[in-house]
Formats: sequence, structure tokens, C-alpha cells
Amino acid sequence: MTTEAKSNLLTPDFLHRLEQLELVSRKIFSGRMKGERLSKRKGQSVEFADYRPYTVGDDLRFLDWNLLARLDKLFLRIFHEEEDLHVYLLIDNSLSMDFGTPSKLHFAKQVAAALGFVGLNNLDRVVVEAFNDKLSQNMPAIRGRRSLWRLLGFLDQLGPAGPSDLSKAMRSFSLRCSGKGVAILLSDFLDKNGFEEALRYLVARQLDIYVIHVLAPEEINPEVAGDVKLVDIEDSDEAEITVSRPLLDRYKKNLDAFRGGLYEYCTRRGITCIFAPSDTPFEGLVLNYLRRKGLVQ
Amino acid sequence: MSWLARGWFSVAVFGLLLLALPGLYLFGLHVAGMETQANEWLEANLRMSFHMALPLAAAGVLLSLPFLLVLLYFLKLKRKALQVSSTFLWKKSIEDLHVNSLFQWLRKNVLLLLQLLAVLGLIYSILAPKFFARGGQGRRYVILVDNSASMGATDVAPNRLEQAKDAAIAEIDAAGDADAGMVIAFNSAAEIRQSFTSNKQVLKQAVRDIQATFRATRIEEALSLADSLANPTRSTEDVAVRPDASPRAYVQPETPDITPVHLFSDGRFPDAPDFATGSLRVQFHAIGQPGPEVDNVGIVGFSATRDDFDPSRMFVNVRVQNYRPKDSAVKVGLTVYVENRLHKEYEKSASIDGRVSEPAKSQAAPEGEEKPVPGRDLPGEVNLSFEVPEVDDRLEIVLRARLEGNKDVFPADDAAFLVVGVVRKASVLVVGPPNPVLNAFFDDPATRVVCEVAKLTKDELGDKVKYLEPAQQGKFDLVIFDRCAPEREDQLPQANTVFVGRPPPPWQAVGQKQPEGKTVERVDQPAIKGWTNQHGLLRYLTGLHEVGLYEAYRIGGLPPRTPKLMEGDRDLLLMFTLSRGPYTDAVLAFPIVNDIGEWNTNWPLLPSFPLFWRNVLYTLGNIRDASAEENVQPGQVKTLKPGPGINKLQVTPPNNAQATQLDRGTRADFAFGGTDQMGVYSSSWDGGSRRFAVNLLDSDEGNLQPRPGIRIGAEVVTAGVPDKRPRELWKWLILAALVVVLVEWYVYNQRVFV
Repeated sequence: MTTEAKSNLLTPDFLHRLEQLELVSRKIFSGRMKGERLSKRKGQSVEFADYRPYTVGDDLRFLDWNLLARLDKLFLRIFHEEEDLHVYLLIDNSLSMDFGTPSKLHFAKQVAAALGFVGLNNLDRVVVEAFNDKLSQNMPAIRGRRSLWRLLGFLDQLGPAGPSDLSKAMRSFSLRCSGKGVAILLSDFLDKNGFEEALRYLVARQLDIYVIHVLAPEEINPEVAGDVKLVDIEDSDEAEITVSRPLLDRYKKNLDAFRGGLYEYCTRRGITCIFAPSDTPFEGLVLNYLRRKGLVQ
Repeated sequence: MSWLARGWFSVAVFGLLLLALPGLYLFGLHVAGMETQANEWLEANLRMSFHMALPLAAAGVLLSLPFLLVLLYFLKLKRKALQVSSTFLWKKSIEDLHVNSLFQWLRKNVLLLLQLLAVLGLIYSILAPKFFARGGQGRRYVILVDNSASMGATDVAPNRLEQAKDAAIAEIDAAGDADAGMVIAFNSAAEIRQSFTSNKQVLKQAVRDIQATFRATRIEEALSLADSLANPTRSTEDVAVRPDASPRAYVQPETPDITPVHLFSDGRFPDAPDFATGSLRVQFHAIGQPGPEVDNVGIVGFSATRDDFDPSRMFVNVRVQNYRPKDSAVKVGLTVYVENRLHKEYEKSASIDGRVSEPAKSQAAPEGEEKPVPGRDLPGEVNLSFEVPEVDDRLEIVLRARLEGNKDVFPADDAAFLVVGVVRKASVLVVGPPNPVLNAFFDDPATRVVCEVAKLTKDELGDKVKYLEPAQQGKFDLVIFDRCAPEREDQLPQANTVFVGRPPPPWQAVGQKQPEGKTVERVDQPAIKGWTNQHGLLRYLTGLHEVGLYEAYRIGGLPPRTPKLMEGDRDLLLMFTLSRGPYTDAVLAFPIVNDIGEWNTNWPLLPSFPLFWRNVLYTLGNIRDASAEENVQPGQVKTLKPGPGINKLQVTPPNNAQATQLDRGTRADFAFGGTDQMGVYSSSWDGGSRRFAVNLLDSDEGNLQPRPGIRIGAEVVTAGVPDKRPRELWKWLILAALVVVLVEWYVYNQRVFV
């Protein structure tokens, strides 16, 4: 990963356009601090929600005096409570993510930075967790636009390392994670042990889960020929192949089946699965594709 | 068309495998040693042949290479390491593929087709198939290239010899790889330039090395050489069986192969009607520009005679022939050099008629076919005589005749040289009883011009002063013993001898006691059955069978390989020669006049008799006579007789190059064979020198029109169509295989087309 790439995770123009977005959670979660997000709890924000009859003990400040004057009944005005949202950005930084042009990790960091910025801009509580076969690095929860530099700083220093073990890492995350919120999982899911168990841990935490499946173009259309010995970048596992049309066809079929399996698994469990090749135009992906998919609005 | 899209691969594989079968079958036949039979069938039916272009081991290795490559391809021995994010999906794909891998591989693998094509290309390339070429092995052929003077004509560029060499090389190329060829260059003599070999490069180089000569052309020797070497006669006897070196019985091989002899010549040589082609099949390749348009005028005769009454006056005759179809005007210049200094120059002009050529006719052959008969042609001819006065007959004179301003395609015959030497008379001694017949010859004024004759009686042979001392001192050139002989061998003179009606010592006269192993018997009324006219003594003699003899002697105990000059019936040897150191003893085994003075033969009444004695004088008498000396053509052996007592001699060629030293050895004269250049040669020895000229002077060489046919034996061989030059296919197949492999490599690495 080059220095130029590090410093260009987000461009100022793109940041300006991101300011108009916010992360969407299909579930309304309660937050610890007040944010710009309407909580399910009724609170003291300025946005009117409903009336309810007064009961003893209610705060008299919220009585609607006008209604009392007209109807001679006591009604209490209820306002939406504005809350912050937990946004967990889970970035796979195993060695397999350091593959492709551009590399999947860089692409994942760009997406994470963009979504993190959207979250910060909406006063959401943004937590970034990097994982490989464990939770390798994490950034404490941050909030507010002023924390953007911390987010970008964390992402910039995040490099590929170690093998991947998705389930082990997600198990650790689910144990550590206390609050509820939106979990955005950025990974290639190329885990020989499978992805199902890992997603089950997340589902069990009642998180609103978005899966962004990042693959390099070289993985989608392999540019290999002849007799080659394929070496796994993570565990140095070897596979000797002779590239032929049938083999490539078989590979693509398997890749499609793998993607289809992930998509189906996620859909069945209310997880939004988004497939994003790493050569997808990043800004278009965030501004258009993720908006259509409902992750941002 | 969907079935085509689905099934093309299977059809292609099946077709390629079918194509491979003939090649593999031929390869198997070659391994089984049945290549000859296979080639015969191929030649008869498909006009093509094959030959394993490589040794069997190398061919095997080459054949196995593609299979080895395919094996390596599957064994995946060496692979390039490539890092991927995960082998997870790949391994899954391989496992899936292994379930029906063979089927998958066979279904759509263009690589397989390419590999099969490469294998096919290699198989057929090493089988070296050819069109229009003869295959088989062990077949022999002979290349005869004419490098005589006429082949130097420039009517075709650059000259006829080069054209003949090119045609000969093409013929060598046309031969099969296993055929063995021989290269013979011939002119007046034949020379093997390369004995039988199947190495075409060696044969071609031998052809390229053939150089032009100025020699005349004789075909017989070349054909004899080819015949003897193509199918050599065999004898079951050897020295152990015939220790006395008597002739062994040679037989022809029972089933001689018909050996093609490719004759590259312009056909300008005398026919060989007496030659039996036997197992040779002569193919005549006519060289030169065909047609009667010949651009040549040449000197074909050049002679000089001294005036009988005034030896200082000389008559020079130059004979010029015009081979052009139209009349030509020629100007002949004659230059006279006396003792190497220009003496006089003469010039004469004349117009010569054009050559009259009769076209070839067809003659009905007994089989009902028409046989072409070569036409005759008569060149125009003129004789120009020059009278050269005031030439000292004691000095050696060199004459040079040339055609002034003549430009034609054959300059070799535009000049001629003649050396008129000092006349040297022979010293002849005739010993014996009076013989009026011999006296009539030797007392004739014409004979006395060239020889001095002394006569002794039989009794004077023991006279020391009259015979023994002069004989031992070599005072005589020729001694004729008529019905007498010295008693002992040591009394024989240091000179050539002729014994008439009496064998030389150690044989004794008939009726006397003979030494051991020697016999002399009287034979009555023998008949002459044969004679050779190759020997100088019998040259130009004809009609000898008319000679009747009353009595003769059978002389037994002759040394082996005694030259037989004249033979009679009952295995009787009537005339022969014996070698005695440098001298020759000629023996007539019959007297001319018997002891009582009666004629023993009617030979003196025949014209051949004085001719015979003239031959004796000129052959054995050491006469030098300008008017009688024969012209020496390039390549002919020049016999030099400097006189008795001279054992060393050196000859300098016309261009004053390296002189040749000659040693007489046991021969009676010096034989100089290096007469390849035309011009005046100089021979010198201790106490004397002499020059002689070498000229072409050959009408056959000068008449440049290529003959359309030649007669060899009873057969007229016409110029045939040259064989088509073979087109080697196997190299193209090798190239195709390489291209296929390259395409394969490209496709294999591009993957897009996989």
C-alpha cells in the first residue's frame, strides 16, 4: 500500500458529499448519549412524537396547556428522544485482504472511512475493529466530526497481518461488544472454516448487520495460465493446477456458488449482503450502491 | 450446425489419429527392414518414396520427444509458484474436475490437437517422403561428365561444362538418399573422381571440382570404367589357385543390376558401336545450345613438309573448317619462328562454305517403332597452303597458325602450333642371309631418306669389330635378325631388334636343344586369325587375314603377359614383342624367305607389308621426321626418344611453369603425359633439346552442335528429359511442426483461446 493511497482514503470533495448521508439502522437502538438519531425512547428533543393522557407523576413541563384550555383534559406532549448510534466497522485485515489491484484491504478501509465519516457526522458512536484470526486492533469509540482524524489515522496505520479465522474473531467481538447497533463487516470471507459460525455470533448480538463482501478482480477473473503452483498467501498451502478452460469454468462456478451461499445465508438471517469488487469505483459505491441497498440515506 | 459445434473436436482427434497410422506403419516397416518393398510399392502407385532421414536411434529419440513432452505436461514436474489470496476455491475446483477429468480433457482441449499435429509432423518428417524421387537402397548410378575441349564452348552461359555440372548436381539431388553414386570425368581418358558413395555432398563436390580441359573426347574408356565398377566381374580363383599369374576366369555376376549411367555431354565424340552396354542403362543428357546455329570456325589440320629437292623450303598446310550454317570469310595468319625468333609472317584469306547439316531421320525399327537416327553434318572446309622459303633445315622451327579476327564461342581451335624438327635418320643393321624382299624395302630411296642401313651376314655376328663392339656401344637404333640370332643373350645389341623366322636367345633354332622350359616347334600352314592394330608395329594395317604362311614356329615358354600382336590358329603366336630393359625385341615367328631362298609367305605382295616395315622403322628405329610426326592432342602421351644413353629428361610446358623431370627407367623411351595445355613444349636433356607441339585439331570437338543422340553398341541413345528435381517435403514438415509448437506455446500462455 502506498503512502499516496494512505493519504487519499477520502477526498475533501467526497467528504462534502458524504455529509448529506446518514447511516440507516432498521432497528432503533438506545444509545448512551444523545445523538442526532431519534431513539425509540421518547425524550426531550424538539421533534414532536405523540400525546398521551397525563398520569400522576409525569413531568408537568410537558403538559400541553393549549389542549387543557380547549378540552379541559390533561395531555402530555411526547417528544422523540434523539440518541446516538453504535456503528461497528469490522475490517478484515488478514493477509488475504492484501491481494488484488487495488488491494481489498485498501478498498475496505476506504469504505470503512466513508461509512465512519457518515457515522461521525451524525454523532453516531463509531467503533472500528480490525481482525484476522482474532481481534487484532481496535479503535475506541469515537463521536463527532472532530474525531474524523482519529478514524483516518487508525485506518491509515492498519496493515495486513496474520491468517484469518472469521468465527474466532467474531466470537471475540460478540463477547466484547456491549451495545447494540449497526455492524458493518468488511471481509473477503475466504476462510477455509466457513463464514456461517461467524455470522451467527453477530446475529446473536441483535446487531443490525451489513456484510460487504470484498473480492479482488484477480479473484473474480483469474489471470493465470499454464502449469502453476498456487501458494496460499496466508497458510502457504499449495495447489498445483494446469489452467484450462474447464478448470477456469469450474473455478467461476465455485466462486458464484460461494457468493450465492453467502448471500443466501445473509438474506435468510436479515443480514444485508453487499458484493463489492475492489475495482468498483469507490465513491459511486458509497453514494449510489449503498444508498440503494439501504445502508445509508 | 449444433452437432458440428459439439462434435468437431472428436472428429478432429479421430482424423489426426487416422493420419498418423500410415506414418507409424511406414516407420514400423523401416524398423522391420522392409523399407525397400514399401518404397517399391509407393513408387509404383504414388510416385513417391520415403527414407528414414535420420539414424534409427536418433529417429527413435525424436519420435519419443513429443511423448516425453506430453508426459512432462501431465507430470507437472516444474511449475511456476504463484501467490493467491486463498487456495480455497481452487482446491475445490480441482477436486470437482478430478471427478471427470479425462472426459473434460478430451472434450475440448485444443492443446491435444496441436500436440497430435506436432507428433504427426515429426513422424512424417523423419520418414522423409519425396515426390518424383527414387527411393530404395543400394541402387547404384554413375555420373559421367564430359570435360573435353568442346565443353568449354560458351554458347551457354557461362559454358557447357558448368551447365553439365549443374545438371549432374541436379541428378545427384534426384537420387534417393540410399543410392550410391559414382562420378567419372572423361575426355580422351576417363578418371574416377569419386567412387561409389551415398554421400551426396561428396558427390556434388566431386562434380564441382571437375575442371575444363583441352582434350578430345572418347567415350569407350569411361563406359568401360563405369561398367566394370558398377557390376564388377568376379573370379573364384586367386593367386593361390593360379600361382603363375596365368589369366583367371572372370565371370559376370549372375543377376547384374541395371545401373543407370547419366552421361552429361554435348555428344561430340565418336560413337562406340563396339561397346556392349550390358548392365548399363545410358541416359544421355545433351548439353549446349541445341540446333544447327553453331558459331565456330576452327583449325583442324596443320602440317608441314620440306621440299624433297630443297630442304630449306617448306610447305605448310592449314585446314580450316567452318561449322557455321552460313558461309564465313576467314583470315589465317602463319607465323614462323626460327630458334625462338620471329622469322616471317604470312596471311591468307578464304571464304568457307557453311555447314551442311542433314536433319535426323526416323528409321523404322523391326519392332514396328521408329528409331531416330542422328543426322549427318558436313562442315565447310578449306585448305590453305603456305610456302615458306629459306628455312634452315638444321634448325628447329616453330610454326603458329591462327584465325585472325575470328570471334566465336570456341576459341580453343583458333590457333595451332607445329614444331618442325631436324630430321634424324635411324641407324639400322640387317643381319642374315640375303633376303631380296627385305632388301627391296631397305634399299628403296624413300626408306634411305629416314634411315642408314648396314648389312651383315650371319657369320659376322661373332665379329668383334663389325658387330659385338658397335652393338654393345649402342651404335644402332634397330637391328633386324633375319633367320639368325646371336648365340647368347649377352650378345644382343643395345638397341631395339626384330627377329624374323628365328626366336631370340635364349631360345635356339628349331631342332636344336632348347634351354629348360623353352620350346620351339614347327607348325605347317598356319592361318592368321587375329591381330591388334593398337600396337605401333601394326598400326594402319588391314587385311592381314589374307596373308598366307607356309610354315611358322610355335615358341613356348614365353614370359607372362607377353603382348600378342598377331595370332594364328591352333593357339599359335605369330608375332609378339619381348621387353629387354629399355629395348624391345619384336619377334616374327615365321620367316619371310626360307633358308633355300623361297618365299614362305605372300605377305610381300600385299600393301600391308611395306607399311609394316615402315612402322618398324618409325616405332623401333628412333626416327624423327617433321612430316611424319603425329599431332599430339591435349592429354595424349607424348613419347620422347632423345637417343641412346640418355636416362633423364625434363619437359617444360608452354606457360613456362614447373618443368617435369622424367626418368627413362626400364622403358625404351620417355613417356610424357602432362600434355594438358595447348602450345609448344620444350624437352631438354644432357646434350640436347627438342620441342613438340600439342594441338586440339579435332573436328569432333570443333563441331559444337550438340548431338541429339549417340550410338553406343547397337543402341541409339537420345537425349532424354531430365528427371524432375525432387522436392524435399520433410523439411517443410519439420517447419510445420515447429510452427505448431510455437502456436501451441502462444495459445497455452494466452489462455484466452484455451
